[in-house]
Amino acid sequence: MGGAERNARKRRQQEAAKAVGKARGASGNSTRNAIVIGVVVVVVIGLAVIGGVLLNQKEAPTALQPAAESASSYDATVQSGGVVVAGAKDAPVTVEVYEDFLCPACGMLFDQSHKDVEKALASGKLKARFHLINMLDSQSDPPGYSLEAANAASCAAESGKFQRYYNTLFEKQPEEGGAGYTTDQLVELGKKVGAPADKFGRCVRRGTYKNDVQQGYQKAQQDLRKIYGDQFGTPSVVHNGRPVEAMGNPHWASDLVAKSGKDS
Amino acid sequence: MLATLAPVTKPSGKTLDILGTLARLGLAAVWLISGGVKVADLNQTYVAVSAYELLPAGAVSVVASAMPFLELALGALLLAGLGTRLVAALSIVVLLAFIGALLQAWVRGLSIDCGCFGGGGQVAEGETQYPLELARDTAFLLLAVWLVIRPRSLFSADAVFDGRREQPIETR
Repeated sequence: MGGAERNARKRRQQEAAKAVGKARGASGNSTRNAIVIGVVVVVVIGLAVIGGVLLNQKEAPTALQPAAESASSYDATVQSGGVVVAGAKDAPVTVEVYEDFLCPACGMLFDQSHKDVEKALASGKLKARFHLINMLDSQSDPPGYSLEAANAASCAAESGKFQRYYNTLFEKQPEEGGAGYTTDQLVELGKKVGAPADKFGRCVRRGTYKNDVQQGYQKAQQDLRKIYGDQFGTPSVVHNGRPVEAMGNPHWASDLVAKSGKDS
Repeated sequence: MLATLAPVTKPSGKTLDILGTLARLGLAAVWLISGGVKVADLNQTYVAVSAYELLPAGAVSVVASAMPFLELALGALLLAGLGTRLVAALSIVVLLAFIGALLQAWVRGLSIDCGCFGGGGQVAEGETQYPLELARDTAFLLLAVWLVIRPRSLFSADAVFDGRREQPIETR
């Protein structure tokens, strides 16, 4: 890119050198200066670029300690299609919850309302179908944390440890654009919340539920588009085919249970 | 008395030098601020770069980690006034790349923030600001064009290297 530029510069410097030489009788060292400056510029920029790339070997967020035990606990089972069903099977109210483990708004919704949701699930009045989707696969570096996390949470559900695992991944949510947790960290977290080490580790490393998660995401896109149009996103909470205004209402779960109780 | 004020023989040259200094320091400030903000939040920079949907994931990572430091280097060199014309030419290349990336995002109807000074990524459909962002980048581009055409400015390392400049040695 700088060829013509350098030539032009050199020519100018040479002319300048001649002028200086004529004016002062000094030897023209401007050409040498121009070369030195050019080299310095190239080196500074080269070092900055290379340094940036090398420095940015992203590290996963460090130590992943499990979230505290919750006051109200619920049971959860993993179903085909990337869905984890939580709460009593015969609960009168069923809600569909669409979340991505990397989505900041999902983390916010979790912070606001998970206590209320847990209470409603534990009471037997609410059943939640958690659609763990990998919409933001491209938003981690390296890509794919959403899928890894959704798979691992499904593995945790298989091992009967969904609640605390799910809580940890949202409570200690990695930043968008960052590395996310590594497979090792996800396996380790499973052990810490009491999942059988061998079985859980295999499930996470093999990506047992990845196909299901991906299929679930395809299905979720169709379903959400019907409800929200093209502007769908996560988190989305749906009850009987209608959107639930969950964001900003920490009691959306108990409100929904109360309202549905009156309706029926 | 007059003899000591050599630039008086080229009054417009002095004015142009001052304008060149403003252009140089202005462009330096642009690069230092935009690079500094990006370095401070590299994860956000990754999100901003990936929102343009131009590059495969691996390349997004490289670009997002190199670009902030490239901007800082350009800013520092301009601040020092070292190799002003070369650095301004490189600035033009970088700014044209930014403008091209923004234009393609606009044409494709992506709803993104340019992330020019931090931030970036997806925004709601009605919240794009392409005209403003493009106008701003074009203004920066003009500063760089000035410096390529006429790199001379006050308080620059170039002047020190090239020898005392009280005697105008260039005639154009």
